[in-house]
Amino acid sequence: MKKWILLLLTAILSIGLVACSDNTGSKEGSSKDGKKDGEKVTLKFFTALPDRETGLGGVEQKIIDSYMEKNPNVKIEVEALQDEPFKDKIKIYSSTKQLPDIIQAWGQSSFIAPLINNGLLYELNPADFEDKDFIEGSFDGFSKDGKLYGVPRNTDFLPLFYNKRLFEENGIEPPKTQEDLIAVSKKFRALGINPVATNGMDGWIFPMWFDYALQRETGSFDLMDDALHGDKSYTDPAVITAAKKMKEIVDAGVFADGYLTADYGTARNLFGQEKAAMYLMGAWEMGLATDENFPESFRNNVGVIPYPVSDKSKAGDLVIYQGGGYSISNNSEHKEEAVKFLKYFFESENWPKLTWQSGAGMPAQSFDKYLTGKESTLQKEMIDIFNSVTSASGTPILDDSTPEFKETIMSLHQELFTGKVTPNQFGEKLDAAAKKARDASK
Amino acid sequence: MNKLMSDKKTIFLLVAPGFLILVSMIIFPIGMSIYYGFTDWGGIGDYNFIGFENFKNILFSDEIFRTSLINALLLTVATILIQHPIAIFLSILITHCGRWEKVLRTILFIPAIISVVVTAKLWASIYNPQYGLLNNILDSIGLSSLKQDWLGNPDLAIWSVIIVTIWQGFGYAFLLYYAGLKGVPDELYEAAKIDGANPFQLYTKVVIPLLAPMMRVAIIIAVISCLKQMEVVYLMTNGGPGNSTQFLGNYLYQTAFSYAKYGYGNAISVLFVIVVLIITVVLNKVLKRDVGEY
Repeated sequence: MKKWILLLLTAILSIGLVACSDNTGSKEGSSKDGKKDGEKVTLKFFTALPDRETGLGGVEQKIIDSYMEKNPNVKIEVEALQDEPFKDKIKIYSSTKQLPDIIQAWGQSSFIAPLINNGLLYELNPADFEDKDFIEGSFDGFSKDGKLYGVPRNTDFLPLFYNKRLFEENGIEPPKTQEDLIAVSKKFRALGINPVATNGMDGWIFPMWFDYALQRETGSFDLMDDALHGDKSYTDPAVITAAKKMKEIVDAGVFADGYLTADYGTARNLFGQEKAAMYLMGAWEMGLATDENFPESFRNNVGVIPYPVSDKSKAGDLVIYQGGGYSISNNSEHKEEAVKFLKYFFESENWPKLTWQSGAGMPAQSFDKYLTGKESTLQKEMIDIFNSVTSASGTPILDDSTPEFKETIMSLHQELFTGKVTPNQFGEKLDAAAKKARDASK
Repeated sequence: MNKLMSDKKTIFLLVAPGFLILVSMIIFPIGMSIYYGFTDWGGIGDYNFIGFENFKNILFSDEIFRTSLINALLLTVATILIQHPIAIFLSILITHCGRWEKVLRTILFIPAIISVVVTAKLWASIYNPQYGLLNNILDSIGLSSLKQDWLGNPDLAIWSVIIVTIWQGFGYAFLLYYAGLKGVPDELYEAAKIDGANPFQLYTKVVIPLLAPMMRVAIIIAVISCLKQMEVVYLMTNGGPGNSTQFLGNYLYQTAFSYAKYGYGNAISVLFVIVVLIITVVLNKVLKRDVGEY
């Protein structure tokens, strides 16, 4: 009997502990509600741009600060983490239904689909953003069944950066076709210079490159998506040929030694320290021309060209897509305030202008009117490529399906390049992965 | 006081807080993990109870799980067969180093106190095919033909990683054997010498058999830490290229957090625990041999 009393006592004690923490929580909540009358609002803002001083994160913070200045009743609390930890934490937040009011979102199935499907994101009104000059089609990734769940922030595409000095001094022309790329790489190899630096350890760059390889083979980006959706198959001869071609390019030594174990920083440094002639990386690396960590001779000579073509494709056929953006969580208590902030954020004076003029990246809104004429050569070349678009890939293949598909396609590329699977097996395994992903999302 | 301490109430009250922490922080999460192992939860939203489906898939059709398990076992065997003989040999050698003994044993223990992140990045640079120390040395001694992409070549990568983990765990193995050697009483050495044993016989017939209890501890620690291996792989190759250096710890992290297959990841962790338990029990049985008192 006494045992039971004791047990009860312990139970009460432990419940008491938990309840205490609950109390403080609800107190905070009630005070928030109380302040509502005075229109005091706290918005939680969760972003994957941890650098709050420079680059895109700097621009983001600047707009947040100016918004708080203009609206003293609104307080925006920023939480920032790197991409991968950010995505992990989003999962924890969503499983406990505690998503912050505004979160960074990627308009890509692998990220946003689970959130939409579980009703965690607030449906936005497209009319709110109609007058903000967003690039045609940029909302697609953030929409499902005609409903909008997020606003895109950046435009990203995959060009080929190159070091003009290394090309000129050695009398080599920048590659125009994939054959050129191989030939040019052989010349650089003979000179003891690494041809193309890239971050193979992270794995995501290869499937993006595969988008190009297949487009160069077939002349359109359609086969990639059709095969993913099951209308066609990855065992299609064109896919196998594209895989063979990629393997051929890899075997010809186009990528720098150790490319498979190079992470982002290693690859970037290799190129920035002029140890590699080219760099396969997204347009978000526009800041290379102003990065003080690299020698001046590099900064003055870094240029960019479209990915080399084949006879079936044009240089304007780009792997281009809208990546990051923002969504509002459905459990937010201040949805209207959050929408108001986003509208302010994307006003032409704010995000598009500031982003472009700081050279931090390319906004998802048209920015022609903010050209200052003082852009770096790299920025100008970037705009030329951007304006030359003849066809667009949309979301890169790896992000167009489930997270599992993404991991599988990333390691399949590594296996293909190291010879663990043949191009034929590559097609079969990819098809199996796509089928598995389709079954899972049914 | 004695009366107080023998009172069951008091015992209960004193044990309760610790027990509660143990339950809520360890036993409960393990139970949850087993439970989720039977679901198809993706980390967000609803999930279904799918019975043994996950376990069946892992055991019968998951190639990566098999690779990771084989890699883990390979690492364990390599550690025991390479690291431990060297550790025993060096600890014997060092006891004969006179005034250098203290300095040398400190130096040998250094790898163990360096942070894993530093170790991993240090070795990644040594292996780097561009500017790495290893390839540069090969170049300078005229063996350029042996130059390799140490971590990028799937056949070599696993061995490169194994060498790093052996290097990193060396300090503790060494320390255990060294302490074991110091614990062997001087009389035994003297007795063996009087009986006419040469140094070789002294060690193989007398000292090393006496190290057996220490060996048992060292081997069990090594096995557990090898099977749990995650940090070095995560930092050096993240399982790549193409899963050739995948280990269980890293793989279950990837499935749960990158593949967004939380249920599946939990099922792996459950199987993982079972594998480790089996190996530990078997090892305990095999290594249980009495060497007698000394």
